[in-house]
Amino acid sequence: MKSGKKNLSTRTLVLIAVAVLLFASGGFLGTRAALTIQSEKLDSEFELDHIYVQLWENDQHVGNRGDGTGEMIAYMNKKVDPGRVYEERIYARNNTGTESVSPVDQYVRLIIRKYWLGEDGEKDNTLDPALIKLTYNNKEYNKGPWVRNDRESTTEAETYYYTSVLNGGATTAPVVNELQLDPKIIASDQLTKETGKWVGNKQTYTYTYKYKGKYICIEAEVQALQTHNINRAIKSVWGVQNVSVSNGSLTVGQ
Amino acid sequence: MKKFKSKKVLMIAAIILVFTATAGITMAFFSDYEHAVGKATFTLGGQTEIHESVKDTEKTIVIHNKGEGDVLVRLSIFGPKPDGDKPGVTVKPGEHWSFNKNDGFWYYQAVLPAGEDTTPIIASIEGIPVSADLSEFDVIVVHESQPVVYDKAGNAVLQWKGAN
Repeated sequence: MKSGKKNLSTRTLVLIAVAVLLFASGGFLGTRAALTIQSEKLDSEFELDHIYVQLWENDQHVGNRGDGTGEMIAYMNKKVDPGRVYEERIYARNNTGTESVSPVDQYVRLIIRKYWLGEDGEKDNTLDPALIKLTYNNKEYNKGPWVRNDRESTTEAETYYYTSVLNGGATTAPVVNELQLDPKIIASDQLTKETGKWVGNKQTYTYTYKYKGKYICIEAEVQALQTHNINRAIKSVWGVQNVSVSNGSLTVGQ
Repeated sequence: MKKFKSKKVLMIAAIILVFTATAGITMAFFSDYEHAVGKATFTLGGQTEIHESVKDTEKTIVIHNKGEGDVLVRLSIFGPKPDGDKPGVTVKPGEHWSFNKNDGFWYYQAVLPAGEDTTPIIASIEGIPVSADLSEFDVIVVHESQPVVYDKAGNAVLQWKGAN
């Protein structure tokens, strides 16, 4: 009985010791693993320090960082003519490969949103974003260098992926290059008619347009990812399952 | 035995802790982004009003755009048509006014900018006997305006859409 207790106590002590050792060594190993993994990245990417991507519109850096203006369609001076086609080239630039930053390849995607704001500046979801047309040479978008992920796209927001690696210092082709406010905003189904009372020998009819006093709003965001371990990065950072890279070429599945 | 089981659980928990403690490290990726936004508006529904002046048998009509946006203007003049010896309305249009016999409207073939007037268009009743009572003759004018839209090049489109 005594020896049984002793045996049990020894076993317990051994188990506790093993657990403590495992925990301690596990933590140790974890730390070492972290250092190892980071060291691997540093080996291949230490020089890059960071990757930099820029959002451009019509030869102007409009991204909201550094020398970027943060403002799109500023050339309109806040006024858009319905029906007129404006030059609206939206594209990305890999801003590595400068004097201070080593060139680092990257994959990019562009998210473009178009929607309406009410007179109070608040988003108005009752108005049709399809009347704000962003196209490439009158086609949907610049297919070939860019591909749209329909899973991430709606009438209001569209997500485009650049199918090639964007090298340091390089610029993508524009995903769209035209902006037009559809003149259908004055179509008969977009107005209400009010018949006024006779005043003297005159009577007035008032037509009120649904889109009167509203604002079009264009919003864009470019996002970039490292090329190393890209498929895992796409799933992890961008959170999409149907986008992958094979032999350097990015594809979007159904 | 109970103690042994609890130690076993402790050990498993320790192992899980070890693995989960290292799991997050592999999630670090280099990424970057930039963002921009912009907005623009437009003017729709310019307000127009008719200015009429009558002298003898002539009514001079001018349309004034008192809204903020450029508009297109058209009007229709109702009155008896000249028929033999019977009195009727004839129209003397100013510059830019053009008659469309298909719908009976006079179209102002130019953009009417905010704050400005059309050229006058004169409706006069011809063939009224000297002894006639002028109050018996009515000339009714109906006018409409529509916001201007543009073609792809940015030129105003002088074509009516929508409101009828």
